[in-house]
Amino acid sequence: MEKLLRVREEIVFFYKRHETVIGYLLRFLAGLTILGIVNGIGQYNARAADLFTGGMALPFLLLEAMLFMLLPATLGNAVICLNVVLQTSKSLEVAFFLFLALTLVLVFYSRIAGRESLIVVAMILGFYFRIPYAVVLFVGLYYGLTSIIPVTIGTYIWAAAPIVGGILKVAPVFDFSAIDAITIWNNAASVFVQMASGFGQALGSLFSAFVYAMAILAVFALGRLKDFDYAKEISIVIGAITLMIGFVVGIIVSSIQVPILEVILFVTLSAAIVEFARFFDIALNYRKADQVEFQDEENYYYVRVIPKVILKRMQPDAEGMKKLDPRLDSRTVRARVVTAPRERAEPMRDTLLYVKRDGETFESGGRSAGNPKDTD
Amino acid sequence: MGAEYDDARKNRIRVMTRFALYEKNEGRDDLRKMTYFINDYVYRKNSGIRFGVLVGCVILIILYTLHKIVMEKLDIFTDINYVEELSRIGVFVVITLIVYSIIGTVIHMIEYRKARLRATSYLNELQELEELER
Repeated sequence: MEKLLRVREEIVFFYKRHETVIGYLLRFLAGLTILGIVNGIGQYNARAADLFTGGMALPFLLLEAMLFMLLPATLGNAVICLNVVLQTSKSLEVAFFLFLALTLVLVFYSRIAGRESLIVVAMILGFYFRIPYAVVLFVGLYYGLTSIIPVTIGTYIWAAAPIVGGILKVAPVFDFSAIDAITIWNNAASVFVQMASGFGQALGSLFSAFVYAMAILAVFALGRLKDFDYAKEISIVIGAITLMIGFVVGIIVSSIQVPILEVILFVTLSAAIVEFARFFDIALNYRKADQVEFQDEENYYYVRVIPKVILKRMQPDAEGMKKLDPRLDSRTVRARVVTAPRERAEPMRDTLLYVKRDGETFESGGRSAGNPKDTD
Repeated sequence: MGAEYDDARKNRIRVMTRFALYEKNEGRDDLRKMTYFINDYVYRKNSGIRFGVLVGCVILIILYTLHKIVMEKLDIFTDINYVEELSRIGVFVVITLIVYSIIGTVIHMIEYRKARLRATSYLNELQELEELER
């Protein structure tokens, strides 16, 4: 166990040292993955083909991923939405209605939610890798109940995507050379009817969204119970069980098509992933938990103290010291290694000091390490 | 004397690192927010939200009209009672604007207050550091 904790400490230390770079890198990778998924649609207009095929494809993808990384969350989401519109531009009617629908999400939700709207992207990535449950459990643990909204939006978008894909396959290709107002209107009306019924069908995903909301609620409520040991760990397990039971009930009651064994497998995997993330966030020693009570003039305090697991710092040996600072000469290194396990100073204690200043002696409350020089 | 000097120097480096991190991350935003009074800040932010909501409402109205024409097969010249429809749309737009204004006000007030707490504590500590250095 100590080895594991040591590894954890090393990784946390590394993360804290490079937090900014790692943050940008993760965002870049997320952008690259989601844009890669969107580029899989591949139903772009011949005029936009240069952006997605040949030599321009990779630089354009990298540029978009960089924009997603650097821009604020709302604008980053806008980049993805624009890519979706370009990818579906084979049929300008479908692209137009998608543009309207995605703009609605941007102005009514993403603009207000800010960073929380990135959960929508995380949900889509989760669905792609078959572990949306990990996102659900994670946001239940670390975000508020408002995260139910992006989780629902992400679930709905994922459910609507194949329906729109189906419409795209049969939609007429827009021909710029033969623009005829009546044809455009007829095509637009036909696509509108198909998309309206498609978006209606996707409402079936709201049952899954409801199960996710219940799991978020369970994790959120249990994870914040301060009086129980291992509250966060228990909340993850209860959240996972809520997901499993929710889908089993869904299969029985509303005959939704979910492979239950797959759900159990991926929910378990997701719970393990979230527990792994929680372990890196904080490690507490519940065995040494203590309850203290004290009072001041105004209040009586019941405080539960749970110590963090903190390993003793290992003193670097001569080689380690040289690695840390190659400029050190061997004599200094030897001297430092010899004096490395220094004794800790005596703990500070409250004392009453008799301070002599300008010939007068007076009392003063203070803290002393027991060093007689302090009172001189 | 030497150890005390070392400790003081290390402490100062720690405090200054904390300041630098704050200035680099939230500090930039927080201090910019502090150039506004809370009402001005909320008003400015809400203006953007209201504009976005208006754009959203226009899109919804377009889709609603298309629904009437395409799905319900209504003739736009004869079958639609414009007074009734426009008043319905007007009520919808006003209610949406009010709801979003309330949500925006709550969100941005909380945001501003958090920023003010962080900025005040930063400025106080900065002042203490300056006094120590004198």
